[in-house]
Amino acid sequence: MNPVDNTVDDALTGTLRQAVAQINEQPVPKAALRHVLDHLENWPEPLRLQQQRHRRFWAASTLAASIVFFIVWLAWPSDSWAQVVKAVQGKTWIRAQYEGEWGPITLWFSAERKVAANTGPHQVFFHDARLHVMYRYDPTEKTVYRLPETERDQAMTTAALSLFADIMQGKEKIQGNLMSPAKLTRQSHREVEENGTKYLEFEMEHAYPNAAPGPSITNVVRVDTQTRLPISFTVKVLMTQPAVQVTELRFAIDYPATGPLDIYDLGVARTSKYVDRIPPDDVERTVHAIKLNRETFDSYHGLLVYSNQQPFAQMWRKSMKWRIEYSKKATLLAQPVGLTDPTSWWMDQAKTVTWRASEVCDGTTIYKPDGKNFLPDEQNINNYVTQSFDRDFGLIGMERGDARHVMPEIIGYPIPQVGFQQVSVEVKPTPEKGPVDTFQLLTHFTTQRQGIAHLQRFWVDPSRSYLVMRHEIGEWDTRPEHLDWRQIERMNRTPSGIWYPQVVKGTSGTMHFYLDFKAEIPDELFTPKERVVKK
Amino acid sequence: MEPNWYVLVRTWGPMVYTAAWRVLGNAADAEDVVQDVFTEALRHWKLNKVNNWASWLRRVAVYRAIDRLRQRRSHAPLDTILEPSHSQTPDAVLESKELSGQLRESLQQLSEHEAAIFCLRYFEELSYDEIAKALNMETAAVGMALHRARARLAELMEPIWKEV
Repeated sequence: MNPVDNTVDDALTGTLRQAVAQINEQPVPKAALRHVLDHLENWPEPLRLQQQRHRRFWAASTLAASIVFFIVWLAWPSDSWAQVVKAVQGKTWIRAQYEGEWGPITLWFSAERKVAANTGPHQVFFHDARLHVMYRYDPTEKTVYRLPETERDQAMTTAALSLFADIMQGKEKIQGNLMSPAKLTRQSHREVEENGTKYLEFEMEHAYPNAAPGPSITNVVRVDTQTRLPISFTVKVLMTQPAVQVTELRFAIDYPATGPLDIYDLGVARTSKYVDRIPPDDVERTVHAIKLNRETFDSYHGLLVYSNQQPFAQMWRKSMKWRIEYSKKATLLAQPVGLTDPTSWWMDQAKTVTWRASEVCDGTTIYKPDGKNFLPDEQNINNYVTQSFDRDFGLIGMERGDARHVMPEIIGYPIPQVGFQQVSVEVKPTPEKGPVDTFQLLTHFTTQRQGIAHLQRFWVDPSRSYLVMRHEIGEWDTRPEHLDWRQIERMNRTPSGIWYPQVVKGTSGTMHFYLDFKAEIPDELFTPKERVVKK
Repeated sequence: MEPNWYVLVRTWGPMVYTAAWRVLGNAADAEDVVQDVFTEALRHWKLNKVNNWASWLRRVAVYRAIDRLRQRRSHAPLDTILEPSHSQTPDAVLESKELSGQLRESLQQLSEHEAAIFCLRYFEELSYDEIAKALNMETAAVGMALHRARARLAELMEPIWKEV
């Protein structure tokens, strides 16, 4: 053959041809694709430059820079520090301004008014922590969005403000490390002189432990020795993955007598379009119930069997720990007719199948097996919360990993994504179609461009602990053939009364769940290692 | 004119994901690759350096996916279980992963460059010219690399399946 000639027949043959054909025919997992696109689309600037595993830091960069700045102050048990505290007391507003590659960025804090605000080239926000409302201005859309504060907004601003308040009150110690799991590795201070003026500089280095690799961060606070007021802080970030990269942001600090009272005071035109994304109470209640049912679901050992003939996955759940295993080979087993206790029968059959762990969460970190080893799931944000696996991160962890495909409490309780700038929500109390006794919650991305739409419909049964009886996801348009759907055909209640699906039909086939709530569930199941099976 | 970020992600994201998915056959790994690719893309986007985003993204996606594939060379089991997809029954998944898994494992044995060229040709269905342009190489060299890749893959895969 002539390799230069593009028209030459270089078609594959035999096994290689079959293998390529199989790969090309394998459908792309739509849910995962959707998830990653949503995620990418929402990368905030300039944070997008960082990898997922660094996002936690960078998502906090502008605010956290300030937070770190405060930590630096507070971690300094010296006379110098006490003098700084005294100097800052009585200042209603702190303003930090950055000019540079990422900027200009201006941060505002007021403990008195419980406000944190930010103006940057890509986004302007005003967080009213007192009313739990976040206002965001999107310059591209020239639109102001009123949003519920997220837990992250709340945590960050509240922490920053409480730190600020503590400074005002002259407290010497602050509990908690907001840079967790980053650890303080070094601190020092020095006197510097610039243009004939003397300054005091406090420097503090943070690094991430090995278990959660991340950037090392150095903060430098420069204090005017005359006024004892901080006049600048610099955050230096050394990234080693994927390549060595140093980023430095220097903020100049001052203390204006007045500050922004709303987002329009930050320079946003009052004529901008205004969109309210605060979900109605009933939506909020539904989302809360769905999250709660996931979170408090009873302990169980379960099996997912497709079409009542193929054990596909087995799962163990205990509080916020779980373990998922997939059957190693396709095994077809026919369930005998007239079984009185199909769960026991399937559990017995499962012992004849070879299983391989696919995901383990020990309540702190999610692990994925990688050959002989189990490694923290770098893809999952939980990896970076090794010291504080809180409720929200646990729920997110379930959403991201294998759990969303096989665990009945995830399939029965998909969380509607509400309260986001791009997502509108609608409630239909009496939907035209769908399971009886349900109301419909509809979310869709409003930023439809180039024919793209993203629609989700949830048929929620409030009389069955808000179980989502039917869930539809429209990927790129709303044509029925492009919808992924699942519908619960049979359900039951856990010993504590939470409804869960037993039989679910959908685009992936029919799933049967067999749950044993009385099974012994030793803690070692949730340790990152293969399960020892006694023969 | 530079596309805005949203358009870039929504227009080419599926292509990037699909390219990574074909090479890796694992949703989580493919997600990881997509994030790597767009991290890099953002840097270029900001600097306004890319003329042809489709070509650039596809090339980087395939290379990053192969990198990842090679990283798991030493320990990935042949029968790595695939995530169940919404639109494919587990039976089908389990059947097809045998052969496709063999190919993915065999791809790890090629040089990165040959593997990438093979993927661009047979998964992404690019012509020799398009591959040459994307990789800044001679068309003849593409043909040679493909020839070597096919021969090596056939050699790697054949013994396994003769036993069946």
